[in-house]
Amino acid sequence: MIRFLNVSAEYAPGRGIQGVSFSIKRGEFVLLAGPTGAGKTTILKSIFFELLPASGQILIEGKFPRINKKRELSRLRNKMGIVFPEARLLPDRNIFDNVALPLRIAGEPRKRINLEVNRLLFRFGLKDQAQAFPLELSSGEQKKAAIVRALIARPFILIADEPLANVDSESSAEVLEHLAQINAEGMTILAATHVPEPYMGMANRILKVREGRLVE
Amino acid sequence: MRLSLGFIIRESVDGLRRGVFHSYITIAAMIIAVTMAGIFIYSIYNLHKAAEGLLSSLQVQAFISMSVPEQNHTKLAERVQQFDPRWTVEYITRDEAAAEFAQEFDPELFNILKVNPLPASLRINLPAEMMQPDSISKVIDRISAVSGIDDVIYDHELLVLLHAGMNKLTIWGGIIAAITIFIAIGITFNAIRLKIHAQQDAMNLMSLLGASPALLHALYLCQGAILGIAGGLISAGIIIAIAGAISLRLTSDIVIALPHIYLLAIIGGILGIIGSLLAVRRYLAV
Repeated sequence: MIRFLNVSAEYAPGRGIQGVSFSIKRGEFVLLAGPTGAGKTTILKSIFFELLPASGQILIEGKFPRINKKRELSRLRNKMGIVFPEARLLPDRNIFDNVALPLRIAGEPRKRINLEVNRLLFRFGLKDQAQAFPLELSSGEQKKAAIVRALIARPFILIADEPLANVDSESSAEVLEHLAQINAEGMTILAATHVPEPYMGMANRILKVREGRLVE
Repeated sequence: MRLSLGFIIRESVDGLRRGVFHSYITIAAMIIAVTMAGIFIYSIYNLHKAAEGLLSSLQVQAFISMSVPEQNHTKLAERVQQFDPRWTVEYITRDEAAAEFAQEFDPELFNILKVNPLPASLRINLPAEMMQPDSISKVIDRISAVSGIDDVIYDHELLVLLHAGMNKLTIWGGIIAAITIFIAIGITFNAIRLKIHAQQDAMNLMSLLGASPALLHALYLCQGAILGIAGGLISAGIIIAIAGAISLRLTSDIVIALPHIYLLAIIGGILGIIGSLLAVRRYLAV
């Protein structure tokens, strides 16, 4: 589904990844583990082309995306679910509108948006918070809302950067449970973390990253 | 993926609502700029119309030689008329000329003189476009060349004065209207620039969620258009009110014309779009 072929990318001079190659199959739960600054986020950002590779190639669903075609890149991003380390919910709109954003961007009809958003909010236990604003929610609830937003457009992969960052232990267990559940339903997940222990037993594979290279 | 017009309009309106104070300030500034531009444009238009009215009331008068028998005067008038069907040629007999003179100046003059010294004449009204200082001299030359015409006169000074006034008005009015239009574009540019800075994180996020640059650009263009149309509509209302108030103070035969006043809203919208387009191209990094 996703294949890195000798990819190098830099987010600052001398900082980034060098010659990274790996592949992820459909339905897998892959964990990128490594210390802070190892290059995990650079790998994730390269997948949704927030960072462009300096060399090497990235195959997504068997194709080399034409990233110079902005519309094609947008379409690709709309079909990837991204969870950022901070929830990155827009503070001036409620949870419903935050979650609905990818569908609205995709131009989906209102009926479908209402149906899908309510269904997923209910599933993640956020139905009662639909009209609340992000700052009125706990960090765990914010993270769950961010995951719901990432899943709302039925992506082919969920890319989660430090999904447990800033989340208390109780909420962490809940988030992990949800991730395990959606993976069990067939969703491909690529998560990055500097603390791999909570994911043990859930991830199919762990890719260890150190100083910009895959070491294991 | 569709470029959803509904999403663009809703997001744009929401965006303006989120910074409502700033939006009001921008609309107020737009109103001032578009109203100023509108006032100058319509002032120029109305003054031009008034000047054209004055020009069309200017007449060329051709005096018929005393040696031409009276029965040939009509033929002379017909001959002049043949030069251009757009001209209005009116034949004034010697008696009519004397009657007019007596009415305007001294009714007793001809009783004292015992004789009418005034010649018969042709009064020629030319279309306004021919009442140009350059082109009218050719007209005068043609009429003067007709045998039986002694002299041709017109109010040259007034004609030159009117034209000089109209030219100055057009140039200065145009300059001021252009400045106000430039200001209106600048106002929208600045408003959208500030919005872009305030919403850069949200735009980056939307881009990562799949919003194309075209969609994000469209959001700001739509905001600029909304600000401009709102400013233009209110400006149109203000100008109508000002024209109404001035008309009340003027004599009843003077009418202030405001043709296509609704265009101010469209102009406002276009200026808003231009201003935001410039801001988006320069500051929106997605």
